[in-house]
Amino acid sequence: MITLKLQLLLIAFSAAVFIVFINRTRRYKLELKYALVWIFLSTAGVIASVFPQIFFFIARVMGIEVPVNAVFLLAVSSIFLILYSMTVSLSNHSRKIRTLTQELALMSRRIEDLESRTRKAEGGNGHASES
Amino acid sequence: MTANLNPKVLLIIPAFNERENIGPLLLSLREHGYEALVVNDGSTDDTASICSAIGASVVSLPCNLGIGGAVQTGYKYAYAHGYDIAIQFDGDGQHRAEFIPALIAPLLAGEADLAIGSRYIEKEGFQSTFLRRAGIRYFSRLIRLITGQTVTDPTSGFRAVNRSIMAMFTAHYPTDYPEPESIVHVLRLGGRVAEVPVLMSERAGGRSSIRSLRSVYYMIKVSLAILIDSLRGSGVHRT
Repeated sequence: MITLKLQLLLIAFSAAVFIVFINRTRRYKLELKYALVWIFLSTAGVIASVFPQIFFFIARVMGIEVPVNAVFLLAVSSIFLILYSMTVSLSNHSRKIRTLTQELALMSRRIEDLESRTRKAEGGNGHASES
Repeated sequence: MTANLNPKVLLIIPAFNERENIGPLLLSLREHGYEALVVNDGSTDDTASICSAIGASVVSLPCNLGIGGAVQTGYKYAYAHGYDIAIQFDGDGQHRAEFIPALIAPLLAGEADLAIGSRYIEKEGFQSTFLRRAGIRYFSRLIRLITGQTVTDPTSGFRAVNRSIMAMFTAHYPTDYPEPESIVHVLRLGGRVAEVPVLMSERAGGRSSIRSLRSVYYMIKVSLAILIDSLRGSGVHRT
């Protein structure tokens, strides 16, 4: 059984998560791309806690005796899903940062080379500008 | 590839806080007549200013990327500037310039794409500690098991590559502890690997980046990297 108290708590919690993530995205604090998985999962949380029959069904299908354990199982799975998406984007970002750092270093080297070559060319012309 | 009589050779020297060793090393390389590029991996000491004071060629990474990211920067530079051969050369005084002609010989003869300087063919010079040797033998066996090729010194950072491997390393190079993994990577993509006997010295100063507790992490991480690499196809994965 899922008590009314727990049900209300779940609704309130899921709704709060949903509102926080929508609001943060609205204020450009979060990228929709990364907020999306939270928004989907909290929507699913609201729906499931409004219709707890979903938990009963999942518990029966998966052979879980106490429906409230299905709630925990789903919560843990959601967190896994979110962490997975974080690991993916973390890996992408570290790769991008590595490439950017290398390109930046190579680029500043090219600028330095160009500057020294320009200075030499100006000196050779006898029009050395004092800078 | 046919024999190239006048190859453009670049020494890539990754350096992270190597102020004690880098100056004398660069001067001795200059005496030997080699062109060197120091990749300053976000050093917090005056490595960069020492290099520019003696007029050495430097690329400075704005933040520390680790050995793999630093060396890859050097390969990118060498490839973009049309070098025929790029040699990885440690900034800590372990590697010796007098072995460079022997190291690049198999590349010039067109017999190999990647040449590795090995301490364990002639078993002379500095041989490293017992535990480290055991680790190196383990990687050697693992690589033979997976690729069928014997590499006696898979962790050696003294290595030379031709342009085809430069292009390969520009597209992908392992991030940390890259040496053993990059050998498997090269062999998987059809590159030819040869080993050349060399002598190495003990580090002149500073500390090795691989220490006791980290070595457990190192063994596990590199083993996994090698095993996962063997699961990849022979297509090029861009990273």
